[in-house]
Amino acid sequence: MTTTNFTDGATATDDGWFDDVDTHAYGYLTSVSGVDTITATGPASMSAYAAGQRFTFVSAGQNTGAVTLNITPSGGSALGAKAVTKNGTSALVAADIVSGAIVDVVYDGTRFQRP
Amino acid sequence: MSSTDFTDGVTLTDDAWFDDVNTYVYGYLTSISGADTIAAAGPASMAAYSAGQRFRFIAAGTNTGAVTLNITPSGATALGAKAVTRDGTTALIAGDITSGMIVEVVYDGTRFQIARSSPAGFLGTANSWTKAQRGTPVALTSAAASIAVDLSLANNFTHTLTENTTLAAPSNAVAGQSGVLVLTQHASAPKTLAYNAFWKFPSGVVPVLTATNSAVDTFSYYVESATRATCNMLNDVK
Repeated sequence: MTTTNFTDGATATDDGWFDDVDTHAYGYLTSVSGVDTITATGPASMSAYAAGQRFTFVSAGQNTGAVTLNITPSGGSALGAKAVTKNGTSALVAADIVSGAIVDVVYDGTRFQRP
Repeated sequence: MSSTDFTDGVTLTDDAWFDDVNTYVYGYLTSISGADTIAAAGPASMAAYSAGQRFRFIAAGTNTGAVTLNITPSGATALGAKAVTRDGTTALIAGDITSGMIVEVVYDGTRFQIARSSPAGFLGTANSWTKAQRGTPVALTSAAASIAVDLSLANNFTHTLTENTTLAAPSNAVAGQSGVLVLTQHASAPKTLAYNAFWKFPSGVVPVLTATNSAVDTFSYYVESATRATCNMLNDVK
């Protein structure tokens, strides 16, 4: 992320910074479907997964085993399914995700980890 | 959701976007009051609850039952109380929030859900532990020929006999608790142990401690009610 110093009257020109902020602030996923192979819609501002991105969604159902998450930026195309893990790289087991529950994930560069 | 495309040289005019970002960044609530009916002050930038908003606060007290949260944006009026739930729509039960803890909630469009990690571990939820859960033993002492037991301190207890004594009626006995008391005889002069009537035995036969130096007897109990427990003794475990 580029560091921009904002001062009174400055013209903000760093669109990369705004995209990152937008992705973070609007990390609440919508159109969530699937229980083990989850797909969801994310913010238009993201063009790729990047380590440190955090997303939140309401689960569509209780998982039955290992889980993947595939985010499609609004108006874009799917970025690809990535494993959802816990405690680092441990795969989820049945019922780690409860139907209707809030799920937080953080992308670590390779997978989505539950914090 | 705002989906403004920022490009080089644009003048920023999307105040809704800034309000949303401000609400996200300043989602740490202040002026928290109430343990079950929680009121708090939120960022001035929020005009309404919106799905995906995330807030965090330090609990002012331990909850005693279902919980609601009512946020008042700074300088404005309260937006209304909404249920605080977990695992979807499940209401909180007493003790889910403890005084002073950081509570993080996400508004899902209807209610505030507590955000938490996997796997489970909440009270009131059937939990399947995939690693060992241990009850750290608490050492008991005998004074004036009586062993006091506070069942709120642990499930498992130990005691090394120092005198002829009685296992007193416990404090904080609640039905459903079970555990073990490991009794180790005196190293050179075996002692006796009597039992308050709280402790019940098969056919009413009170067990006798092994009268051997340093012998180990293991006493197990299950609390049926505030006034009695089913007990048994494994003598001279070696």
